[in-house]
Amino acid sequence: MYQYDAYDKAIVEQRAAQFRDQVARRLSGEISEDEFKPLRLQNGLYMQLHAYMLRVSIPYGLLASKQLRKLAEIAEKYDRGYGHFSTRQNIQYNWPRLHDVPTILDELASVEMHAIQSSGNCIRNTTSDHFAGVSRDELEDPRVYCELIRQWSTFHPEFAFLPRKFKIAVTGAPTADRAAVRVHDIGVRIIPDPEQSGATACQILVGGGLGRTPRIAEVCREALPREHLLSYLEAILRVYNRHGRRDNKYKARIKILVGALGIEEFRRQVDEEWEKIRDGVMRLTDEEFERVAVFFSSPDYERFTGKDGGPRTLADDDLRLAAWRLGPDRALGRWVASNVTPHRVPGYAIVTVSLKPKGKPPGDATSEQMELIADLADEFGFGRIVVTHDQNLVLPDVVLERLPEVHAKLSGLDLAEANVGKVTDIIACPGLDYCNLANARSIPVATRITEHMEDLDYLHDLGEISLNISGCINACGHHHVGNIGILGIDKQGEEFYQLMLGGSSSDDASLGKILGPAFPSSEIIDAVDTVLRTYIDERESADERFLDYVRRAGFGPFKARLYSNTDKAAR
Amino acid sequence: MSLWMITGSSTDDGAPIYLQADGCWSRRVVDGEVLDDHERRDERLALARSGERQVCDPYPIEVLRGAGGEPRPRSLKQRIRAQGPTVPLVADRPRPGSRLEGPAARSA
Ligand code: SF4
Repeated sequence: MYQYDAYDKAIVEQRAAQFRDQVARRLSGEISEDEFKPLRLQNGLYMQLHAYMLRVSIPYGLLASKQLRKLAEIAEKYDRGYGHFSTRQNIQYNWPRLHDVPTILDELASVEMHAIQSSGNCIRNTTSDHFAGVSRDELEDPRVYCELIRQWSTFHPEFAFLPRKFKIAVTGAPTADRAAVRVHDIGVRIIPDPEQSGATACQILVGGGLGRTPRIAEVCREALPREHLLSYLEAILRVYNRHGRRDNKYKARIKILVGALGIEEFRRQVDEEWEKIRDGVMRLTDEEFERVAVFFSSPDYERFTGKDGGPRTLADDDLRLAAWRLGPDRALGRWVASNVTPHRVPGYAIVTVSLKPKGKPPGDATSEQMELIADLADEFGFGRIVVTHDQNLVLPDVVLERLPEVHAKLSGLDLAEANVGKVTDIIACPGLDYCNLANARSIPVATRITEHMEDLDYLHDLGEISLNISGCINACGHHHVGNIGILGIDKQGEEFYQLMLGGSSSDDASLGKILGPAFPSSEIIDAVDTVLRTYIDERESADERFLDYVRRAGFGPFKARLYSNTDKAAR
Repeated sequence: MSLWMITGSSTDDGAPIYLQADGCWSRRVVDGEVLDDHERRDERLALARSGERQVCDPYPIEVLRGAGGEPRPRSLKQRIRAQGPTVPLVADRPRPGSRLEGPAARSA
C-alpha cells in the first residue's frame, strides 16, 4: 500500500489544523455560514437533511486494516456507530457534530487519511477495480496509475475551481471493467500496447457520466504510452477548464463539452494543448513509476502444496471452489458461488463481503462490523480491505482453505449474505432519508426488495442482475447503468418511481431506457417482481443473462405484463 | 390559507431547528411558531438570519395543523427532516455530547 511521505503528511496535518481554526471561527460567529460553506465543502463536510455529513476519501478504495479500525472508531466515538460506503469507494458519516470534525480529521491524519477533494468542483477521489492486484483477468495493476493520478491531482493549483466536479476511474483488466470507466469524466483502460508486444498502454476515454444527461465516454486516445499519462490528463483538464460551461451548472460537466464539440474537435484541442507540455516535467520516467509501484508489490504469498505433492495450481483451487459450491452445506455453497472470486495466486481467494443484508440500507456498516472485517483481513489475508463502487467490501487475499472459517465469522455479524452480483446486491443512494436534493426515498425501496426476495434458490436462479436506485436525477445510485434502474421522482408531493431496463456499466456499457409510466411507491416492488418473473418465464435458458434477454427481447414482454391493465396504462 | 414556520439547521450539529415565538430555536417542529401572514413570516425570517451563529441557512416551510392543532410540515421532505430517516439505522447510538437522542425523540 502507498505510504505517505513527508509532503503528504505535512499537507494533511496542515489542512486539519487550518480547518480547526475555520470551525472555531464559525462556532464563535466570526464567520457566517455563507463564508464557511466553501471552506467546509473543501473538507468534505456537507449539510444534509438531519445533520452534517462528512465524506472521507479512500483512494481507489484501498484500506489497511488499521485504517478500517480507525474508521470504526470514528463511527463509534463521533457518530452513531456506523458509516456508509458510497459508490465513490469512500465512506460517509451521517451524524458528526461540527466541533468534532477537526478532531476527526486529526484522527484520520494519524492513519494517513483525509477528506480533501471529496467535494467541490475539483478532481475527486480516483476510483478503480476493487479486485486490483489480485484478479486473474488483470493485465496490470491499476492502483499504481491511480496513486500517480492522486499525487498529480491533489491540490493541483490549476484545477481547484473547475467548472464542475471531475471524476477519473482506472481499470487494468481490459476485458472485465469493474470500475465503470465508461461513465466517468475520464476513464483510463490499461490495454496491451498495439505497437509493442508484451507492453501496455493507456486507452483514454472521455466525456462519460450519469446525472441529468447520461453519456457513455468516447475514446479520446487509443493507446497512450504510460510516460505521457499525466501530461495528457493535464491537457484534457486544461481544455475543459477553459471551455466548460461555467454559466450553467447543468451543462458544466465535461460530457456536455465533448458532446457539443464532438470527439474529433475535442481531441484536436487536447492534442494541441498536449503538444506544448508532453515532454515537460510531467513526463513519467520509469524511476518515478517504480517509486510508486513498489508500494503495490505483491505481499509475501505462501506457496501451498497441491494434491499430488507438487505446487498447488489454479486448477486445484477451481476444483476446491466447485466442490464447496455443490457441497451439502448450502449456506456455504451459495456464498462461495456468489461472494468468492478465484485469485491469481494458487491457494488464495478473493472474498466480497456483502453490505446488503436483507432489510438493511445498502452500504452501511456498523463499527463492530468494520472491526471484524479488519480483524479478518489481518488473520486470513495481509491486512488489506477494498471498498467496491457497488458498496461492498473486499478481502482480497484470503487463504482458500480457510474460507469456511471466514464464512462462519462473517455470518455471525450479518455479513455473509450470499448475494454479490445478484438482484439484491443493490446500489442505492441515500435518497430522501438523508439527502437535501432528493425527490424520493431510495433506501426503503432497496430494503423492501431485499425483504421480498425470500427464496434464495430463486435469487440464485435469476443469476447476475444489477439493480441500482437513485433518489433524484443526479444519479448517485447509478440508475442509468443498472440492468434494472429505478429513479425516484416527485409527482405532486407523492413518491413515484421510474423503471429502466438495459443499463450496464461494464465493457458492454449501455444506458437503461425508461420502460413506461412511473409506479407509485406502493407498486414499485411488484413491478420489479413482474420484471424478474417475465425474464424467468421467457429466457431461452438459465445461461441467458437478464441483460442479454432484455437486449434480445426488448421491452415488449415486460410492458405486456406491467401495463396490461388500462388503469395503469393511463397513469 | 398557507401557514409557515421558519426552520434551519443547527450550526452545532446540523439538526433541523424551528423558530419559536420567543425567538429561541427548538429541535421539535411542534414548538415552532406558526405564521399565517407573509409580512410576519418575512419579519421572522429576517430575525432568524440575524442569528446566524446558531443557525445555518434559515428558510420558511409550509406547515399544516393536525387534528389537535399541532403543526406538521406539509412536504414529505420536511416531514422526514423533522422525524429522522424512515428506515432503522444499522446502529443507533446517540451522538456523544449531543442533545439529540435519536430520530424518535424528535417527533413532529
Ligand atoms: S441521486 Fe439525488 S437523492 Fe440520491 S444522493 Fe444523489 S443527489 Fe441525493
